[in-house]
Amino acid sequence: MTTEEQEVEQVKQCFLSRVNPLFGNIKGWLTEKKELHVEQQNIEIHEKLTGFYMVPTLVITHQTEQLAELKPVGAYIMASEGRVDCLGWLDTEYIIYLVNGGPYLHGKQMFKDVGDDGWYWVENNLKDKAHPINKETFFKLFAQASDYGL
Amino acid sequence: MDSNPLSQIMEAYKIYIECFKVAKRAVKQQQSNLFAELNLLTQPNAQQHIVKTKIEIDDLFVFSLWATFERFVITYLQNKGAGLQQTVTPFALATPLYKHFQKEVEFWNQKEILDLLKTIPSIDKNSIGQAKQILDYRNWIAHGKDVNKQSSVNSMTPTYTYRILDEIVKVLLLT
Repeated sequence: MTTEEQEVEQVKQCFLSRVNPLFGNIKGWLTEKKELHVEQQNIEIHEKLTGFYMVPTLVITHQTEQLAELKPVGAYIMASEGRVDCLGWLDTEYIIYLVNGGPYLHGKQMFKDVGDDGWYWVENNLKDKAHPINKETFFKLFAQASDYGL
Repeated sequence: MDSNPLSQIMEAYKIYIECFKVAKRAVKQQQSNLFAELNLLTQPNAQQHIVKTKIEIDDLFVFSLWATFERFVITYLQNKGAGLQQTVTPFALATPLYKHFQKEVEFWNQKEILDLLKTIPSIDKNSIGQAKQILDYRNWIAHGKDVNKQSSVNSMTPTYTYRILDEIVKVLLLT
């Protein structure tokens, strides 16, 4: 394995090691919503540098209706170190991993209020807001993606 | 050259997002009267069809934002190059030289144009680097999304594309 291949493998493993605790938290938060069913599955994704690899996904259903799927998009995402999409039946919300305050433009943070390294929900609008992922923000983004009030 | 052309595309994107939500709700609520000529409601997995369509249209918005940005930058360079007509000697060469420049700039390599813009002190170098990644993604769309020649970035949203290109356009409007 060349040095470059080793670096790519490290980036991929780092991304996966961040996705797993995120999904663990989400499954934990959703246990209090007895009406919802959460199932972890595995799918294959492809990135130019990594090639194909397996990632976990979370499928959230209510009775027989799929409300949303949380799907890792990849480690090589602009201005972040990875992205997980919440693909709701109504809309898609984006969760990205930000480090060092996130991206900067003209010396200013592109997204306000980014502090510690971690997963952030970036709203798909021009309000420049990134919310650290916790139970409250996750329920909010889930509601926006799925139109399902939690 | 005195207004930002990207904002109208972003406005259209915002409206499209809301229209899509209305269509999805109409499908979910089986409001057949709203789909007079379209048999979307009778198709299995109608919602999934809409989701796939949204992914395609999002890419087209990225493409459109880039095309508009490209036209803006070329016009900017043509306007800047107009000064050649006053400064070049011998004077007989000035106008033909400018005309040649004006024609040829249309075909300049887009990455090289971005490198040229990087020399403007007030342009953020990071935004040029990110614009190159958007260009890479735009090229991947333009060449049929070949899975064997994937873009260096896996995905690009219209909102993020707008943020980056808008930063560059705003600086050019001031210089």
